[in-house]
Amino acid sequence: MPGVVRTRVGYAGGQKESPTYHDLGDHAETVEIDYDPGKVSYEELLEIFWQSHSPFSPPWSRQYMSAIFCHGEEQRALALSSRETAAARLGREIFTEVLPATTFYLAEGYHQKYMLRRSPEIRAELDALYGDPEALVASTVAARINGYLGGHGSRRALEEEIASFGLSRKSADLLSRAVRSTV
Amino acid sequence: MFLNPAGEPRSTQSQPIDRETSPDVETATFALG
Repeated sequence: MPGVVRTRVGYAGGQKESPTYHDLGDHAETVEIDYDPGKVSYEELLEIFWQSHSPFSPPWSRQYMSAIFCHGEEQRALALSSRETAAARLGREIFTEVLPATTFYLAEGYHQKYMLRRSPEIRAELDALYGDPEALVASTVAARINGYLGGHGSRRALEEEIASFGLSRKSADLLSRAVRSTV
Repeated sequence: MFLNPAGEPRSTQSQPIDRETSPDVETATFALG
């Protein structure tokens, strides 16, 4: 979606230092989104959050909890209001916690850019373009392509920015076809 | 407009693109169950 600059998955909310997937401690699996508030609002991201998962079940482990980790008081107020609105709209008890953001630990590379990893041709091209896996994980282009492949973004939006991605004609066509089939 | 990893404007199609130029990037963190 417009304004999303970077997405990364990782672990947060716990006390354990340097968690890993197999030694998570008390952390939850999380996604961290860097965004341009001039293009997308926190409220819009909260809407995507509610649409993207089921908050109705009590978490059977902290690893799989539903939570909003807030960066500051403004986000906290919006998150609390959003949770109240969502509960009223959905008409059921929801178990999402609203918590202060803590240290975010980046997950292992094989967890990153899930949808992009399922598109080997495009991924191989970006791998070659970036060289460094960490740069790819942190990149705006990888985040945006991953989002489009996951169905978050219209054909029109893609058409407006695809040239700026620096993809080959072949990969651009693959991406366009994938978006046409999901949106 | 995008910047390359060094924070410079992207100058060729072959260079990676890393960040939009907005100085006002904020962060949101969610756990989706």
